[in-house]
Amino acid sequence: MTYIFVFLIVVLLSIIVYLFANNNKIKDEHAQNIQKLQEIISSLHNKQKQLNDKVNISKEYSHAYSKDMKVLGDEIVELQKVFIDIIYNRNYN
Amino acid sequence: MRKFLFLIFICILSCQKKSDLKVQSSDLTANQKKLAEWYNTSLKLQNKNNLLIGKYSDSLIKNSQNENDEFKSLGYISYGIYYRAINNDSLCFKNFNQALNLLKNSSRDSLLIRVHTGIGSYYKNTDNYPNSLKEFMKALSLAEKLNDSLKLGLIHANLGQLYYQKDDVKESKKHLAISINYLDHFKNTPPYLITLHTLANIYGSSGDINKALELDSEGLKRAEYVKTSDLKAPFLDNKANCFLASSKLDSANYYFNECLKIDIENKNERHISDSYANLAFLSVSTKNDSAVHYYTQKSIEIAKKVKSNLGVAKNYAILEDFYKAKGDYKKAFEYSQKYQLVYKNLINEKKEVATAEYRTIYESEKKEKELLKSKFAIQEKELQIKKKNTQFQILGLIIIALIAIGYLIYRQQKLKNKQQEQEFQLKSAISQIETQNQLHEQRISISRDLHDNIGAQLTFVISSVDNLKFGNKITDSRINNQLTKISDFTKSTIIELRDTIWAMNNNEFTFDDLRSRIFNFIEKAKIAKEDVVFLFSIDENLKDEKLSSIKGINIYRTIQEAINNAIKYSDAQKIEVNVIGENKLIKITIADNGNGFDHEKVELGNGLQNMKKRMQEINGKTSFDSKINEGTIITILI
Repeated sequence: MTYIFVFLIVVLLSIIVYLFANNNKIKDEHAQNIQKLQEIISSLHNKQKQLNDKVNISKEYSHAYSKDMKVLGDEIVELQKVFIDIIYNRNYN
Repeated sequence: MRKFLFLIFICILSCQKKSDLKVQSSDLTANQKKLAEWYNTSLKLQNKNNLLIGKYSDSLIKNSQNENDEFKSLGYISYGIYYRAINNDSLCFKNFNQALNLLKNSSRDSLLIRVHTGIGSYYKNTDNYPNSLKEFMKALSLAEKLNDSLKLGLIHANLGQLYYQKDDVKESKKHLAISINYLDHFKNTPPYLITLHTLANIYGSSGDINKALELDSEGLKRAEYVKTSDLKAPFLDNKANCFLASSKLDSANYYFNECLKIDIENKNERHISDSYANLAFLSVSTKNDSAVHYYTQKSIEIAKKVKSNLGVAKNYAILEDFYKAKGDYKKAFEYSQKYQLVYKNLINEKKEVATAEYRTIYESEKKEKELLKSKFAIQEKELQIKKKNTQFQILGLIIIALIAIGYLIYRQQKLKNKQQEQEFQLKSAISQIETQNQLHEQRISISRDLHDNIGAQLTFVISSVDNLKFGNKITDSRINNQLTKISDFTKSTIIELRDTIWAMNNNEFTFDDLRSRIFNFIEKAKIAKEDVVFLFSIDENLKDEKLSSIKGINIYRTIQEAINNAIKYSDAQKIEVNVIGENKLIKITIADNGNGFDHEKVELGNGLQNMKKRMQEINGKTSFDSKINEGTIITILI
């Protein structure tokens, strides 16, 4: 009986040791996974930042472009005025 | 004879007055100290107060109940001494035997010597010589181990006496000689007296009366020195017998009477009876009939009182001889019959004693066996309890191990869930970022398409304006100016677009990229202003410094703006751009040697405001330092 008990204890202790080792292994694996994911997140974040920058540059240009187009439109209107003025002078002079 | 045996016994006991309990007093409890004290007092009271010995023995038995076997044995030894002193042989033997049982596992040799000597002496008195010899030999081996001369002398004296009783005079003399050797320095002690007495008996019985008397006289002297009358009586008795044997009847009468006096003084009735019998025997020799009748009557009366069949038998034998000598055969026959009857009783008594003795031994052995049996049973139970305890302990360990396993499995599952949750959160974040990035990429892609379209449209506008201008040979200066204005503005918009596309096509820039871009711009500017000297220098350490696209485009545009301002408004001959590292920051200075402006008088225009705004967007600082006719220095810190 005692031998059976002792054998049982040895088996149980082995299981405990195995579980401990397994727990540590899971922790390590998890830490590695988390590190990888964080690296991915970090790279994605950088990429996002770059893309944001590009979007901002694009937006800025769009803003500048619309302003420029307005100025250009004004200049064209001014040119048209000159044309109308010339045509008017031709017709009435 | 009886006196002789008594002498031996008191010698046995009194010679061991040295403490048998040589134990450090600090090791003893209060009760143990008290028991040791009582035991020693009991030993000192020998030959003085037997009643007190009995009382001490009783107290020792009662108070040693909870003590170890050695202390328990003290009471029985004391009782053995007491019963021997009052001539109760069977109880004496029983108590010594019980003490021996208690001391079986003891290493207290002095107590064991006392017990073996007591039992040996009992066997010797009851004529059981083999057993007596066995016990004395045991005592002798223990005494040799202790190397105690006094004890060794006493045991050899006893052995001498034993062999003398067995009629082995040669062996007896040998032991007595050894005893004398051991007792050379203990001549005034009871063991030496016993040796002298036995030797005197040997010489007396072998006819060397003078030598016997000489030894008796020496014995008497030494007994006087010891101051114990008990020890004197056997020598007086011996001397009287010697004188009787050498027909010196007066002297014999004197010593027998002296002996009687001591016996009466000591109130020892058996010895008184014996002395009266001796006087009766002497009276037979002196043919004093009345004295014979008187002494035998007195002796028989006392012997019957103390139930001493031996004493009665001795008197009947004297009377038988007396009547035979007188020729009264009828009376002689009558006393012969009485003698035989008493002798038979004596034999029966001895048989009973022997039976009692064997019963005592048997009971002791039986008790011992029962004790052993119960000890085994207790040991077995203890073993079972121990086994059960071990099993319980192991069971406890198993339960603890199972709990630990359960806890570890639970913890593992919890850990897994937590990890999965964390991983899931991170993956969700990644997927969100990826989605956002994809969205941004799509936006950028659309922007690119738009920029391409815009570029194409602007190019079309420029070519259309140029065609219009040069194809139609327009002479109107207003139209020409307006068309040139539109063309230039569109060109600048295209340049701005190209810069934007350049910035969007790169994720990051180095200062080298920036320099080449600015050089392109300067080359174009040089076309407009040929006399201006442009200088551009970059700190070697910053050549590989990387800038994000937004930073790059903002720095580029700020520098561009500053150069433009210098060309347009300051009329500068030299424009210098320096990029250096300063306290972990990047310092860019754009200096010209133009007209400069007064801070207090001139408000900052759109260009300078834009420069400030751009730098704020990338967390940089801009400062302007301008002096009229000395030039302007614009400093950017990133």
